[in-house]
Amino acid sequence: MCMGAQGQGLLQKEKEHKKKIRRRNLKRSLPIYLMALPGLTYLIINNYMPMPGIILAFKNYSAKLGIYGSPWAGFRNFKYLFATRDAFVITRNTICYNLAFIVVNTVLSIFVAIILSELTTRVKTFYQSVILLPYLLSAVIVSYLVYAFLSPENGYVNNSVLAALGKGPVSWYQEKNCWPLILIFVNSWKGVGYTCIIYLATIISFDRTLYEAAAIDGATRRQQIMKITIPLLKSTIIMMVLLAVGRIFYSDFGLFYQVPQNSGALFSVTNTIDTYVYRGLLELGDMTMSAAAGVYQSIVGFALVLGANLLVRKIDSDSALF
Amino acid sequence: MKRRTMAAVLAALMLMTGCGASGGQTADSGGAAGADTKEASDTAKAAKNSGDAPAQAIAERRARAEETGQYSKVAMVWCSFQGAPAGVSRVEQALNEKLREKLALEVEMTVMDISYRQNCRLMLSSGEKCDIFWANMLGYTSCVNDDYCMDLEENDLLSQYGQGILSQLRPEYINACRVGGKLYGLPPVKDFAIGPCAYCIGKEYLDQIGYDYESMYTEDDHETIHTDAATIDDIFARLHAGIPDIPVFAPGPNLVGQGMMVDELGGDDFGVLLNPDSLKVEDLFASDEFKTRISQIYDWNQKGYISKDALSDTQVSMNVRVKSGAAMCMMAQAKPGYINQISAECGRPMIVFQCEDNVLKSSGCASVIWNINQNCEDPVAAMQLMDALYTDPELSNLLIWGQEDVDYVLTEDGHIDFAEGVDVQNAEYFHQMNWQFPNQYIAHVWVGDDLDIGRKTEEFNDKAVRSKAMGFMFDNSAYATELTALTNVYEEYRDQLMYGFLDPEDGIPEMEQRLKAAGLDTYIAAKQAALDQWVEQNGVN
Repeated sequence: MCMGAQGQGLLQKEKEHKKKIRRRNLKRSLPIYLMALPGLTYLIINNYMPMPGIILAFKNYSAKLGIYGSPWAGFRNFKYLFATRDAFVITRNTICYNLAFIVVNTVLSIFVAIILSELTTRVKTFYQSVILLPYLLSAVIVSYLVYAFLSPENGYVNNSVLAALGKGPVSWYQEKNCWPLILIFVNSWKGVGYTCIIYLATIISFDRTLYEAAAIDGATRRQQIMKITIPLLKSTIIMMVLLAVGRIFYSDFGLFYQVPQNSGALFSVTNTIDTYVYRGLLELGDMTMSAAAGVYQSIVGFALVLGANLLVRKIDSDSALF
Repeated sequence: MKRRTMAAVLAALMLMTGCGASGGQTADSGGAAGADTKEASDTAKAAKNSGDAPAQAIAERRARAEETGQYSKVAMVWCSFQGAPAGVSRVEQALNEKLREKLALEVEMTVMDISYRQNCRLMLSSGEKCDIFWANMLGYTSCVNDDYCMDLEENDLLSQYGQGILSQLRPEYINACRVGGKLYGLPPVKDFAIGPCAYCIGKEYLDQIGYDYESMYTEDDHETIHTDAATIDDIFARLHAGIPDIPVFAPGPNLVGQGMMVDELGGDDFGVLLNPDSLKVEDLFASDEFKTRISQIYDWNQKGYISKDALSDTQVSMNVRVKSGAAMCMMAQAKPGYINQISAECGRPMIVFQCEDNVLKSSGCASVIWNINQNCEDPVAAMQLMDALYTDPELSNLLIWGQEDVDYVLTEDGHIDFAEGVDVQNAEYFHQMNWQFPNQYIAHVWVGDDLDIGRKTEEFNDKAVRSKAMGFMFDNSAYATELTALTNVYEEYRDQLMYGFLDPEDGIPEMEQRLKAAGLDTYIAAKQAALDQWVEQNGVN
């Protein structure tokens, strides 16, 4: 009896202890939950609440009957996408541009981050700010900066560069072939400053003794970078690429809509799913068809993220997102 | 990202509207709206006995207003290209003073700039209060397809409460706005015919090269010079030689609707009647007429008449280009008094040269259209407000010109002009959108315009060449897939061709091929079938 009481007392104590720990854990993590709250709220409002709107893509919309009351249309709203080359073109553009952006931006960001990490502090912050600056500009402003260079009549390239080289002017907003390069260039110019911060932060956190040891063993700067910095960066690179792959079916609207000045001649190389949906909804006014393109984007995007993750899990299971 | 967010917010909004609308409807069936419809039908019955439904509706609204202390409000959304005039709320107050007395209601005006196209659509899809709007800027048929527009003849709305409108508009103009037999909108009293292919050239430039246009006016027309394409070519060549620094011509995307004699049968360029006597729906892009027009523009561009930036800077409209001195000439459609309108728009005296005959077709009638939103709570009030705007000169004056002695003064000869101390720059209410309002011809006439412009416009409408298909509008709701696919292809080529940047020898066949793949033939055949049916029903031959 006495023993039992003692045992019970112990159990009680243990329970209380557990409770305490739980409470302490909660107390410790509460601020973190609170920090996540705005982001989660945004995610729920922005990404989850509109999800039932998907059914709009399968409806023959009538404002009188509302979304749920409108008659079903089956897959009719999807037909126009596949009736022409449109589905192919916008899917190709979205994926190919994003792939190119991922490769070019990753390489450039790492390159810039390594250079910055080798510099002395004061100059570094100055360069870093200068490289970051374009990231903070709105796409509309960027589009006019690009226009200042490429305007066929008054642009810098036609009047100063090509004229100096003795070449005739080019009407840039009609030259399909140049735009993949122009867009990739503009995207890198705009985005590298931001991603390189993350790489730079990682590089700075590396153990300096590794470099010192390598230097004593006679490793050159180049060897240090190739043998120490880049291998150590691997997991960061994989994470960043995975995050980018997750968004591979979404395009930077401003870049694809504003920067080419909405020029019809360039649609075949600048039309992505986002700009296509936008044009469909606001210029043609067709909500159900825009919704259909949106659903297509979501489904293929979802499949791509799953696929990419599966691939990563096969190669390096620790780096997979889920 | 921004667009994603916007789309999501929009989707969320639509969702809520969906719920709100369905919830609202069930709740309302016993509530206010239900009572309204019941009242309306009661009034209708009573009206058949007493014969005065409008007066009764006003009396009921007044009784309700006295009870609640609040007048029923009709929300009117419109667009002014230069943005909302500063004096809008002042004018709205003045309007309401009259409207409370006359109709026992108040109007709530929302004025938007050129973003109207997008914002008004968002208002409609999100279910915001927007009772009266202009669907033509959003695309009339697309609004009808989405059911944004109320059927104005439902419950005899128009015939009961719009007798004033019916007295101002001839049935043929009203009928031209029918889609699939139903009337979803009303045109303002306006120039229903158009004078296509009107080249407007700055007078100062013609004077500078010493071109004698004075002798080209005829006895009975001192506003528009009727001429031909060859003369325009000649003028352009001389302008370019005389003033080489300024591009001659500011092209625009209006080449088909405003620049050719074709009848688009209600809006889109896919399948048209190539001339007013024809009832055969043809492929515009395969026609010689189209090729000739495009070749002419291409030729002008090759000769350096067009700015190299024209294609990449399409957001700047043609009249703004002429106004800023970046071009000497633009093309539009003429009508009586147009020379004053275009001179005001371009900020300089203009001379108008018209190359084609005036023509009357459906799209000219429905080019401006007034609509009542399908979710309007009180359609009777909205219709009565419209009726008053069509018939009451005082209201029309307020809406179009603002307040007397504040915004304008009457001159001795019966015109109106800016009030003292007011000019174009500081005017608080000078939107120049009079052509959009229900009846500009019962309002005052601005100095410089003919006092009998109303009569002249009627004459212009009557004398124009009538398209045989006048009154027919293609209901494309069953062909939305084809239309969207076609429009997507067309958008890719349209500006390049119409601004003269794509060689028609290569460009037109390439576009044609892709349009065919997108279903052009199906669409044209459907248009033809609908037209044939209409022809049979209406006994046209």
